Amino acid sequence: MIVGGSFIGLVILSVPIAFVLAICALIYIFVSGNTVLLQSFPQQLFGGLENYGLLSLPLFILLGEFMNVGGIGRRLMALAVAILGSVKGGLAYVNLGANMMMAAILGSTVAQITIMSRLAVPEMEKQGYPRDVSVAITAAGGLLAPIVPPSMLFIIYGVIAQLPIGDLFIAGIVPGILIFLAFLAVIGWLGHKHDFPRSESLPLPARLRAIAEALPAALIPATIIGTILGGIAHPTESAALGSIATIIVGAFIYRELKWRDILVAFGNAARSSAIVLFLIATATVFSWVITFENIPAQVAAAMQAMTASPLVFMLMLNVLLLMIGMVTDPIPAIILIVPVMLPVATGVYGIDPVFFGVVVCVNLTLGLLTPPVGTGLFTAALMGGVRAERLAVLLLPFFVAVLAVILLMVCFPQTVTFLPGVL
Amino acid sequence: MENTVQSSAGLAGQVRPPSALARFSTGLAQAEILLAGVLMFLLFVLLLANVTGRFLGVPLIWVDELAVYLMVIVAFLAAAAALDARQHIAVTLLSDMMSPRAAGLLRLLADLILLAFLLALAWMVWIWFDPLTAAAAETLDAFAAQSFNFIYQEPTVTLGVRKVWFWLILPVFAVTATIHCLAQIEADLRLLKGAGR
Amino acid sequence: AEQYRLGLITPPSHQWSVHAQKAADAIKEKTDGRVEISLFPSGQLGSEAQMLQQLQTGALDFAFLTVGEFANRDPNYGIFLAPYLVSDIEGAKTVLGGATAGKLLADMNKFGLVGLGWSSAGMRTVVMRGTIANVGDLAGKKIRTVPNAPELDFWTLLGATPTPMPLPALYDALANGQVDGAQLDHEGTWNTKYYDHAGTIIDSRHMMFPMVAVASGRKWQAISEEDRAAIQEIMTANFTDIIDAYGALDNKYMEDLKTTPVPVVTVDRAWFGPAVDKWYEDWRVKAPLLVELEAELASN
Ligand code: NA
Ligand code: NA
Repeated sequence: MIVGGSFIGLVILSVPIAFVLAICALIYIFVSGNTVLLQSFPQQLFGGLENYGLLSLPLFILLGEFMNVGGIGRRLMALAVAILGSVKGGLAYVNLGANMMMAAILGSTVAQITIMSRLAVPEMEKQGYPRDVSVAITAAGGLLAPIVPPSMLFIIYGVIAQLPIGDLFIAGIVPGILIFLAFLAVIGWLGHKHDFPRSESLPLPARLRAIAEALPAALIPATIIGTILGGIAHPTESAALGSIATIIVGAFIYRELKWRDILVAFGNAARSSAIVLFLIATATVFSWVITFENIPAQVAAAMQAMTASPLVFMLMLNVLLLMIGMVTDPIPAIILIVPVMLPVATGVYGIDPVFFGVVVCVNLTLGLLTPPVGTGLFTAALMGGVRAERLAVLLLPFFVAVLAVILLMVCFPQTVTFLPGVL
Repeated sequence: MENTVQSSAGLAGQVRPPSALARFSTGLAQAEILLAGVLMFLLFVLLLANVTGRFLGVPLIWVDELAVYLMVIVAFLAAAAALDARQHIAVTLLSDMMSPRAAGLLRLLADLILLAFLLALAWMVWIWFDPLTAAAAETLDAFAAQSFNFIYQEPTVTLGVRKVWFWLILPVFAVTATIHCLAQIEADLRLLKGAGR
Repeated sequence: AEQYRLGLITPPSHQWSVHAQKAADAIKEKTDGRVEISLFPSGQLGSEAQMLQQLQTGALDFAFLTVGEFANRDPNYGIFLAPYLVSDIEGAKTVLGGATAGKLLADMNKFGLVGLGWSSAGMRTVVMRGTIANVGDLAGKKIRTVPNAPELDFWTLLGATPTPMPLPALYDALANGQVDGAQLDHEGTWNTKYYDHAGTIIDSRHMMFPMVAVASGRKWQAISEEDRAAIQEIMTANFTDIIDAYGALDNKYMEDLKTTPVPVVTVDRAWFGPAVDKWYEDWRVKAPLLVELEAELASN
């Protein structure tokens, strides 16, 4: 209670969110009387970032910086326009489609939002889309990254649950497509509401020129995909290789990248990633303190006492996950929730662990874009130069779309389970 | 939500020369970003070395661990610097609705809370490092045996150095973040004075 | 009732977690509810290094830790990772109940811990991409291991390239050829389907995977002597049960793996050639207790 009150109070007082989490963890230590935890607090703050998987964040932010100054994004978007022809809200669909393709390569929302903000937002703004709506579409598209395989979240879940990661990936395909389709519908509706500009149908010579100009730029996604699929690099390293390709193309082919830009990019990437990373560090400390007091296990026991129906349990769980997703990040949340909830779900309610994992991961992914603590939301706001509060409001229809898909999955688990069964 | 410094300058309605503390804080922040950028470059090179090494069949087993520590140091350095520019993400819905003076008071209150936390963090880091007791003990091993505090014994897994070298970023962060926070509080006070006149 | 916490990195379904829960239940009953232990599986309280620090401050009361965490602090703890030290899990039981193991357990006080006992997970085996006909085929291959010196040395001596990587990265790495193989156990290979992209499963059982149960030195002192005896007794019984469980599970999972299309080759110490002897030569110098352990085994 005290902690919940402090949390809301501090947020309203406009204390930075990362510090709100750290302060609440501290308050909770004193409230629970477990002051011995104070000795581990700094180490736990450091330890929250000691995770190899997090390296993808600064690296993809760096890649985004290079793509921005190297003139890569502009040409790739021009290519998409040249291919697409005349469609109302064309660029918005291009944005979502590009996100879907990126999602099939990347597994991290923040990484994807970073890249797509650089690629799509400036171009959409130039064509007359409202900037905030463009950023919102880009942020929503980032949600596809951890749902469409490969996915960092599914992998972490698979390791905790001792499940075949391949099965989880396959199980994520249908929900990923459903969310993609739901987002298409939302964009159609937004296009109507905001009167999105129609993409122009270019004459053939202009089209050919756009394609020719984009060919070197296409080297960058090709480098990223090729080095991952070829087993040369894992996704984090592929971002480093992609950055090299970007520097080469930007400096020597397009001649837009100056040496000074390269130096500045490192500082900018450090600054942007630190804001997100520091938030993850304090979110981890917060989860650790909550876990230490055994709160998740008590909640699991309480839920178990309330219902015998798997459906009701899953619905209650989803409400709980949404609340947890609001105040923390998916990775700490998974470590917080899965070890206590999974045995209850499979043991007491007989729920399929693959299905359970997909629902949990999709739900927690949503938390990336919900205030007050949403790393994806903040990244999009930071990269797009839009206020997070404004962005959260614009994202509402996308949230509703994802919630509808979650509800569909919970009521009809076959949507998740049939594909792994067939393949 | 970002860079409220600009709006606060407009709020004062007048430009006064920055104080010595403000200049020091900003200079420190620039140094932090510079160092973080250099370490970021190093991190980038390390990952490229890792790919190259593995490709050539000579994986560098220490790269992953060092890369992670570099990332942590970058995060703390630049997170401290972000305090100077007020770039940390905060929900400013309430202060946006308030009068300039009330918003200034609110900002002062938030900064004071932040300062209290940073001092608490500095204190926690102090009891963890326990430098006076450690210096008084005959050896660091003896210190660990007496105090059950193994901070100076903790090894890294693949780097062959003690982990405490990397943990040192925490006292650095506690100090620099406190300096940035004090500079913000001073700025808040000057602004309030200016707005009151 | 006093509330205690036990941390481990294994997930709830793993044998270590399962038996930790059994032990906690039995301890609660035996002490008439005076000692209630809550489990924190899957590294909920942090990595093993973080848990160790929390044990030292007395924030955490108990933990089941892998031996690697200690081998990185004192090479003598690496001797149980010697290749073919024992030929099966029964042998592991003998070694972990022996005098040298007892000595290493007592030595835990130098880390601010009280050692409660040893146990082990299943024997380590190898999963490889492509066909492996003889040990020479391992040369130049990238093998995922955990980064501790005994394991790294073993693979280096075989001419392979040990490649540490976090477990969550392994599945993709095996799928796209970033690594050529991994040192695993049958349980994980089967459950997580690491064999999906494999060409050969080498049933080598060349290494045990010891676990040590510890209590916080600070907290242990505060528990009454009677309750300490009860905790120790029940824990010890569970350590034996874990090893026995793996005796059966290793064979069961091996049978399961034989139903996959991936060929299984069964190999022994001789198959690995002179590398194993060289390993012992090196480690008798690095870890003097290895000599004692070998003498102990020879006298059995
Ligand atoms: Na993905
Ligand atoms: Na959130």
